[in-house]
Amino acid sequence: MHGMPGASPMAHVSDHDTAHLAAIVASSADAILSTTTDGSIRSWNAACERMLGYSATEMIGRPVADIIPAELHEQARDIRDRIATGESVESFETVLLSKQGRPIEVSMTYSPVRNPQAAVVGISAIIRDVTLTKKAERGAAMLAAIVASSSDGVVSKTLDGTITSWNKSAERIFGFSEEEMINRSIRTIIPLERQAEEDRILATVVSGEIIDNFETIRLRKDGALIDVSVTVSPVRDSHGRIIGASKIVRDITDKRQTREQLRTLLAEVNHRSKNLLSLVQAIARQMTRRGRPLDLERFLQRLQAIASNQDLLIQNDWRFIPLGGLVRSQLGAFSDLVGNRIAIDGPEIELTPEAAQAIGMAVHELATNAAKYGALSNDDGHVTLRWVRDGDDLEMIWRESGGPAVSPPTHSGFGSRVISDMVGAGLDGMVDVDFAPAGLRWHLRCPLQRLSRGSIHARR
Amino acid sequence: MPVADKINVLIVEDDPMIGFDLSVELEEAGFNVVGVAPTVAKALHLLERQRCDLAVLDVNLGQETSAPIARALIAAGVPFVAVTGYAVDQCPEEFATAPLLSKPFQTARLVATLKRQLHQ
Repeated sequence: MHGMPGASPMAHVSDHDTAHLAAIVASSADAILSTTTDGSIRSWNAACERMLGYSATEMIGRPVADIIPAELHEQARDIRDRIATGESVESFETVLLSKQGRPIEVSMTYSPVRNPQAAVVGISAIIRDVTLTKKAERGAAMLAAIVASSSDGVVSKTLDGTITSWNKSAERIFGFSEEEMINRSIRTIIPLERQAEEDRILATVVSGEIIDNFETIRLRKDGALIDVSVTVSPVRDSHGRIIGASKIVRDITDKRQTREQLRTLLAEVNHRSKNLLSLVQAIARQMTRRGRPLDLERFLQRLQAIASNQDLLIQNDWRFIPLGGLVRSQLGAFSDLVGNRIAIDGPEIELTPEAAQAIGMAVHELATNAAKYGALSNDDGHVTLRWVRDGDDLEMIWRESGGPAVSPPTHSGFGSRVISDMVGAGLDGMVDVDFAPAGLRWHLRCPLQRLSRGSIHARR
Repeated sequence: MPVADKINVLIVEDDPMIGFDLSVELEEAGFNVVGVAPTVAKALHLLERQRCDLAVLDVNLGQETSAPIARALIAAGVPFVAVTGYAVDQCPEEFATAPLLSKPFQTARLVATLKRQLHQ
């Protein structure tokens, strides 16, 4: 706001000059109107009619408020008052209403109109329609906001690789700030051994092609290498010439890690399933030693016992099998007896899958034997299964009572080898099986270290 | 046959049942099994105390691999056979020169492979 040159009173104006000036105003491409100091329209050129739809005959003499939205009336009066005191207002952005009632965004420049005595007698206004400019500005602002808030890094560069923009996510991904990167080479974030990639990328961009989701490795400010997916598109000027490239960078470290985890998991599944087949093979082989025919029912029961271990393992994210859960699962066929004829007691210990398999098989064989010959073969025998931690060892005791009189087996079958040799050797422990006439007693002592993955997994 | 004339074999296997089965099978095939070790520590402990002519190594021992045992055996000039459920390319480099049997395998194949190792 300042006094404009030409706003000073014109002392010597001929009629000829006046007509000439009037012609300029009338034919101006900009809409020009004038009002009295109290806001009554005095002149209205052809551009006003084109912009606002009213003709000069319609408007001259009407209050200028007719083309101003009601909520802006007060603001318009304030401006009028300021111009009346001799001020000028330049490029004031506001809204006018067309004859159809459509709001038009305009930029207005107001000047006082003075008489030969320099008194302000009116106001002139030059009006520019800025609807298109505003729309473009809003569009650009929206795009800028999208880029700024994108979770992907968005970077632009010239054809020689000089960075011209660098958004917040690029800062987050690479650790370099916008100030650090503008005008620096994109090669800053490319590892030495991958510099040739940039030559290929630029050549592709220059040819007008897009590089879509190219997975590569880039360098962070802290020197760390990160996995990224890059999409590079050419940027063209208004004549269609390629003047640079825009780059969208996504950090795919997580994705790669997930892929690697999956590969590891598949290798693990491969290993475990083959091990499981070896186990089935071992059981079948041991059950048919010395030409003994395969007892298919017992074989299938044993497979079922192994399968139930697998369920417990999966329930605990493939990390461990709880000893209490294992024992209850292996005694599943006798679950109605647990709590009355079968007593189970012991602290919770998280077993490795291998240890769980050995103990699970032993408990399965003990229970099967008890149901066939021992304390669970009649109606009133009892079984207690207790385990305790004793220093660095586990002490586990299976004791039967009230069953038929026990006599030692005449030959050593699969079951008895499982509860003695197999579990003992497998757990690095000692097994004592006592076929006492009053009831079988099985005693296992083995290092806790062989059962759990570190002592932190063994808690009460 | 007296034990002194037999070939001493160390079995490294973390699965108790499979280890047990292997030891029964190899004993039956005429070998003397000096022990079934489910861990690296146990295997190295046995190797220090027992004369060992051959070894069967399960590559994956749950929490660890038997690579340190393979190194000790190579250093001592004791031949060994690797057995694994993993694909060949997933085994540590220590097993690159040893014969590899994929689980499950038949005892006859293991015995034949062990004997071939012994005569090399």
